[in-house]
Amino acid sequence: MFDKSKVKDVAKLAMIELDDEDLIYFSDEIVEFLKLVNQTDNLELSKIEPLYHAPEISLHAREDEVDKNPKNDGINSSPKHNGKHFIVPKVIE
Amino acid sequence: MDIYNKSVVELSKLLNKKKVSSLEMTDYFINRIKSFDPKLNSFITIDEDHARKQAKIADELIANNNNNLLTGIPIAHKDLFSTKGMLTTCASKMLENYTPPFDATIVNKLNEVGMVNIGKTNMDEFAMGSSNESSYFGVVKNPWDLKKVPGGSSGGSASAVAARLIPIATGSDTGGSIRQPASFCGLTGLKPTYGSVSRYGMIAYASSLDQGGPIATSAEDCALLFNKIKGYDKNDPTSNFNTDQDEVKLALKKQDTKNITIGIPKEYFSKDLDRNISDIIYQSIEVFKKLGFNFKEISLPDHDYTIPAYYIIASAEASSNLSRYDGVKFGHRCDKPKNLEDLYLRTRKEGFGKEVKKRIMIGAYALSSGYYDEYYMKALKIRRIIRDNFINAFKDVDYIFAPTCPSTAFDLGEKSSDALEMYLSDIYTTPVNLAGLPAISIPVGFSNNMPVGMQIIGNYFTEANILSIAHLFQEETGWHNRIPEDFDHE
Repeated sequence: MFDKSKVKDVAKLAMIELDDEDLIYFSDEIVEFLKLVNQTDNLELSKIEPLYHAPEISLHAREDEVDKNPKNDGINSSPKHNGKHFIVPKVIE
Repeated sequence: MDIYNKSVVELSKLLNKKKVSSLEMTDYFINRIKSFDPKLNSFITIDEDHARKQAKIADELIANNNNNLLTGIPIAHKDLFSTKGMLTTCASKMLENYTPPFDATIVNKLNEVGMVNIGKTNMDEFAMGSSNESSYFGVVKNPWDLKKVPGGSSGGSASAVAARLIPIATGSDTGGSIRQPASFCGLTGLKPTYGSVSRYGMIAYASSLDQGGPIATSAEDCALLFNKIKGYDKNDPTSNFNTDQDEVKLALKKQDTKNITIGIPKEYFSKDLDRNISDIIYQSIEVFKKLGFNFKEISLPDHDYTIPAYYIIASAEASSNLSRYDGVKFGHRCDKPKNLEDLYLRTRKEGFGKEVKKRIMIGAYALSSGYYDEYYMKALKIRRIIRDNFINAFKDVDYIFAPTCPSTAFDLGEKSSDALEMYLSDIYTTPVNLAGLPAISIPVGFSNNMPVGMQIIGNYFTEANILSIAHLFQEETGWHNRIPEDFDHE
């Protein structure tokens, strides 16, 4: 049964803080959604293979080489950085 | 200068004949956006300086005969395509101040051909929605009736093109987000074959389903844009080598149609479909019959299981894709985090809206230990059934016609408090995404003064033909040229 305590567990997995009002809202919403999903319970699927990707082609990989001219100068997009590093709260005291 | 009602093809001719410059055209559409968009809220960002700079470059290209049919034409991009130096918000507080350091491949390709990017269009937050009511920047309105939704998630692009604030726009389609708003706004919208248009720089929602494409007034204009954005891209590992490198040509002639059989799936015309919409689609089928096409009833069974499977798969992929928003690398960051966990938890609480949080949690649940087989694996198996049903149908018929939506545009607020009703409005569009097929939605009539759309679904990489079939219909009919009365003037 999907209840408020389950929502708390899932919110922790999803790393989203919820307040009491959120817990009620999301448990109601997700319970309704799961009712829709449970309509598939009577399907016989034991002999069906899952399909992860419709075209079923193998994904291609680039050469394992560093791009000498990176287009993505990502550090400057960080909300807190020192020009070389991302700054996060202290992890080890 | 009376050009708002011109198609891209017509505007291109005006530019080539030097009847108008790209700079004049750009200023014209910027002024139109300023005059009319306060009623619609279809734009999040308008970058006049950037647009004028690009227009001047386009005018030089035209003066030197280095142009093509899209050079100098104004465009707007859905606000999930990364634009270097221009805000890209995904309609979320999470990315409210995010300016990407690079261009999406789609944007880059259109810049290279000399198109003029005027700005970024509103959308459902992170493309999660079917009504454009989940945007952090406010709801978008339908120019055909300001009390109604424009559809979603590419609602801003559709609303702007329908009101002729911009001649053409980009959109993205994960479960119908190009076709459904095109249908609600009386436009033509192409969802290409998965893998034929690069997803590089397109902010990810559900990676195995997301596909960018054009929203325009006509199939002819969609073909012009599709030609320039398609193709293999090494930056997107799911980009398909088999994408046709040749230009799409609207080559189908009336004499070819007698060899083409179109399937009508009986499950798509059941009691769930609004009777008026069904009647209008059958009237349009009569036009196609007069053009020479053959029709045959087919079956696409298990159709009812599409919505649960789609929302589990899309949410699962979203929960993974959106884990990147952690307050560290880019986007929103909460104030004074006590520790790393507090940084993640509060950043994501503050940055995401309700629908996004819900889908991330559904996805995390579906992928979690103990529930993976019950939800995610089951959804993937249903996906195979849906895909195989299409493959089997295409052994019997060449193309499939289907309604785009079960109703015309609904009222603002009508479904926002009932998520399941909203999800079920995607019932005719999501199967195409699960199967990775191409489909176009074209306007085929009006019901209670609101536009009705119909899909033409093709087998993989048949964009040239579905665009051609749509074009033949649009040569015979005028639905795609209709403009909402309140916006049909200077």
